[in-house]
Amino acid sequence: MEKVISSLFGMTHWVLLAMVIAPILLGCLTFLLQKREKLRTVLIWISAAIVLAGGILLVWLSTGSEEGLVQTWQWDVPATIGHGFRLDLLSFGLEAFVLLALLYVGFKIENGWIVFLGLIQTGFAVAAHFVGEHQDSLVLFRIDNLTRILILVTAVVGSAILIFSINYMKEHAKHAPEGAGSLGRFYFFFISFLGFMIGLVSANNFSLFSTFWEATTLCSYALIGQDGGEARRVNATRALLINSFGGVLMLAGIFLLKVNGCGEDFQSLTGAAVTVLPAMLLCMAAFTKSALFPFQSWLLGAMVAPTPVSALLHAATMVKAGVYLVMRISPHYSDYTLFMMMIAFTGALSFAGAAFLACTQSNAKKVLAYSTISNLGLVVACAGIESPLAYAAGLSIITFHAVSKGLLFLCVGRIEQKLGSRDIEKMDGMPYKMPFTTMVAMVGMMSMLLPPFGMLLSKWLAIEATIHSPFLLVFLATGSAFTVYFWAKWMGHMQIQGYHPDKPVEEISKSMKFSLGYLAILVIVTGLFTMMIFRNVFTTMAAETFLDPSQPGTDMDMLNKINALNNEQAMFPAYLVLGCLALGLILSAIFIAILVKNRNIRPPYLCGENAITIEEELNPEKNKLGLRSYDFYSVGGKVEHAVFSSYYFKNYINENRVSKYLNWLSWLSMIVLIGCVVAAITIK
Amino acid sequence: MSKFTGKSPWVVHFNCNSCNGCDIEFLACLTPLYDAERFGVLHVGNPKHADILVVTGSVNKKNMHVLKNVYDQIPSPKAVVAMGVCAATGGLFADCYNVVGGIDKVIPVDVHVPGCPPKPEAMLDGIVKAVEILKKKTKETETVTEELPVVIVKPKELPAEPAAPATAKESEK
Amino acid sequence: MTYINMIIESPLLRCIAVLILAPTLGTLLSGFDRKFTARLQGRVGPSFWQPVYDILKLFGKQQILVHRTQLAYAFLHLFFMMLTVVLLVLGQDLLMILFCQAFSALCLVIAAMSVRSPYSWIGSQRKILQMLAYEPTLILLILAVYLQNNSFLGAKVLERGTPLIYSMPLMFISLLFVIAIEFEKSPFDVASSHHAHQEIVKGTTLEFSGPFLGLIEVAHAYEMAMFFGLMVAFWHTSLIMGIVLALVGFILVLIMDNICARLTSWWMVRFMWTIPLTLSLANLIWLWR
Repeated sequence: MEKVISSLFGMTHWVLLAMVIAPILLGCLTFLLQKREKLRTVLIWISAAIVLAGGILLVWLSTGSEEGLVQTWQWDVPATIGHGFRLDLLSFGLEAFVLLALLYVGFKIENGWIVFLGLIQTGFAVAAHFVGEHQDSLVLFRIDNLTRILILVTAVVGSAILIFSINYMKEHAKHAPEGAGSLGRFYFFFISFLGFMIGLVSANNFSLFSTFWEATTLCSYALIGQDGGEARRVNATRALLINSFGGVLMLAGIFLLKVNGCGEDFQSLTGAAVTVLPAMLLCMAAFTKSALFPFQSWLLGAMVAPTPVSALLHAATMVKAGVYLVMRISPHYSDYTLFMMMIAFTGALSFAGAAFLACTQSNAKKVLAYSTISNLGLVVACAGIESPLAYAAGLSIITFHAVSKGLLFLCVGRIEQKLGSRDIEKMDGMPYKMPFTTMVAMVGMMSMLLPPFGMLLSKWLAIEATIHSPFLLVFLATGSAFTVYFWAKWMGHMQIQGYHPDKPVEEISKSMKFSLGYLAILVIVTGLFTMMIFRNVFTTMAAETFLDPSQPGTDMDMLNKINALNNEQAMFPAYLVLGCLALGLILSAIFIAILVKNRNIRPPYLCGENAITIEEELNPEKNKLGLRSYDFYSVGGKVEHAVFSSYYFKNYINENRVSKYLNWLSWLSMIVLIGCVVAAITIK
Repeated sequence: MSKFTGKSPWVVHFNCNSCNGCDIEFLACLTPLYDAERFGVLHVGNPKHADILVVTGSVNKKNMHVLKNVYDQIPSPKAVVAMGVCAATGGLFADCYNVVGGIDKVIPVDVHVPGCPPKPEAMLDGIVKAVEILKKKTKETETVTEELPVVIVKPKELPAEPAAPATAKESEK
Repeated sequence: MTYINMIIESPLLRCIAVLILAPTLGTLLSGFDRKFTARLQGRVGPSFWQPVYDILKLFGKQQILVHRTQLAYAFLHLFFMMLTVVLLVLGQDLLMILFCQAFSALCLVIAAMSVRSPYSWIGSQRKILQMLAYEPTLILLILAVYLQNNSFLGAKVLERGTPLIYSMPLMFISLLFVIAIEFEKSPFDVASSHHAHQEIVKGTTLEFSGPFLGLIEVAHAYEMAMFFGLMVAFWHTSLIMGIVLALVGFILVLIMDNICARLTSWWMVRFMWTIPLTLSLANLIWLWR
């Protein structure tokens, strides 16, 4: 007992516990005080502040710098305390509680499959607890570099989204359909999710890990179904079903590890032959969580949730848990080339396939969802490539994607509330209607494509790292082309505008402006220092992960390549690009200030059939009918608007059919994956 | 700069109310036999890129605003060539109920090329004449077309705006 | 000679030199293009310096715009194209250069989409399809260069003993198709053809006029010079052979331009994703060893 208490003396322990528990308590509090609007708002601000400050504090406290290496912090406790009470019973209790909650939900919505999967999960969990040897000491939580990155992402992006949601949800509740859940219910799940997420990434013991894993799944289920109605119920159930399937795979893996006497925490995944099959099961569970093909349908359905949910759970954090698991597992299995190659293949297939399907979508949230799947696929591909460079690229995608995508989802949410539509085709004249949001969204989209920003840098390095895997290369090359395609279409749509002599102003509440501006500045600042961050953080981490002498198969070439990033020459283009961007914007601002006068403005060319000239348009005396200079006379002197629509290839590509083929292909790759693992085990 | 303006006259060709005789003849000037491109002439389809506006046919009440719009969209310095008698005076169609007359009723004309249709040599000559006039103009000599002499029939009411739905749609199924 | 050596030695002077020389080379190439095309059609054709006159004339015209944002993107288009050329001359990472070039093209697309002009819109939609069509081929080209030199740095190409064309003939052929797209040559000139003034009225560049069209023409000259330079790099050991190779490639593209009709954009994507991509892949497999 004394040992347990003494182990709790560290500041870090308390902060970690607080970070897990405080959001849950705050969520409960918000739920109880939901009727009092002012108090609720204050509580949300407090939660955001606590999550942000706590996350940064936790990362700072757990980072002990000894001998130049960033240390891993872990929380050891003896397995048995006082009177033979086993501490792992506690974590098992938590796990059982969450599984019971899952079963309860299954019974409540009368879905036999969920109950069935829940029962299997419970079976595996119970078996895993009681079968096999127990360890003498437990490592409950472990914070290493990978975890730190995810904690930071959750804290920084999570707090911004939380602040955004204050006004968004207030507005959302006004238009909410019949049978929608209350705001208190929303904030209960939304805020406590942040705690679960931080628990998930710092948990080391498998019982705790699966507790948080299932808890985030349940949060996701509850939040997708927030607004009630048939479509939401169906999509929420599908999300729960697919994630329960993933849960079964994960618990089966954990059970196998325990049965084989490897242990019950992440240290048991040593890369020994006996752990390959569990590792594969865990990877497949990760695929369901990250909604890679063939499990992508739940994430697409999840887009019916209110936008802050899509931003936080389905883009920035929860789906990252899957790739986090793969990143955690993959460095230990670089000996099993085929196994890793199939993991990378599945990822690359999702990268190219989702990017391809994103080209055929005009629904903004669906485009973002596909783009998320695509990027998660790229992370998994990076993890599977087994080279330090790719690993570093994967880490940087996890980070930068969360910020950019969170920002873009929030922008879409705001646009949707203002325009009443999430269709890209409807985003017309945005720079005048919503100048701030448009600018911020453009920053977000640019950061996905422009060289100095993290996303493109990581894609660049991922392609460079794939050079020795011919198979993946085609997928990465084509996927990268599709990515440019769908972003370009959207960016163009966002920029459609007519001429306005006056400076437009957007009405936007302060909290929304704050959170959008905060994320946009974050995107820009990380963009400015991408190379520095990449060099100092991600490559160091990748080198630490891979430079272990007991890990053969390290691609020294690629590591040299990383070191080459250190020299000034490699930094040079990034700064040139930024300089170019700045120069272009400044020069054009000067030219615009000098040149743009009303008399130099002409309406677009419409075969001369423009209904009105610019001077007439700007003069209300002459323009009593409210015509615009880009309206034109059609047959019989009728005035028409020019309507713009992008190519979506509806005639050539049927989304459902393509998804079906891609799903078959990815199921096939799963089967090959299993085959590879079986082969690996038998050969070893 | 005027030196280069003379060397690269880009021509936009506008069929106002023509019987197509002049148009066919004018386009034929670009073919190997007459090869207008040796003077640097490029036939662009777009007033915003053009230096010289070549108009064939007379102006009628329906298309005078079109002619004016096209003229206004050409950046200065610019020149106008009225190709054929219709463009000059209304020609054969001058007495029609809907015809306003030659194009100089709507926009200022620099060169008149007579003929029905004019001979290709005359057309090329007309362009070369227009180039010489163009050289004397600068980008400051911007001629603003006056109010049109005839009121155009404008629509009575606004076209209906597509109504924005008030709430977020359930777009997923 | 010492001056030339000095320029080659110093990166800064090299950049300045190339920033001046590249548009000159690009305009000369399009002058050659127009003269050559005219001769193929049995015409006298314009002067060899015609594109230079055109660009200089454009800078003397009135500055007509549709709205403000358009101009910002036109500048970004030009600057990123210049940056691409500079990075290439400095021997930087080839993939980075490709991304810069893609961003430059993207800026033009956004500028063209922003103006509410249907023709410009169609042109830009097709321009994105063009990017979609050639991007994978270019990425594979760069990867093939990596397999040869074990480095993505452009500078490493020049250190090789044997010309790239020996080991990458098929890549060179697919590069020619990419160049045909970039130079807006038939059958791929779907986005902003010189000859498409009936159909889409010049597509992407429609709403730019006067000096702003001049900016885009200059950017195009840089682009032409860059791709010409890429072709020269296929025979880097001897400058004369390189230029001959590039000229042969360019003339092949021009002949294709003259004997082909413009085909649909969808056909272009299908074609580029089958034949040139397969050629590149075949070449890549052979390089894999």
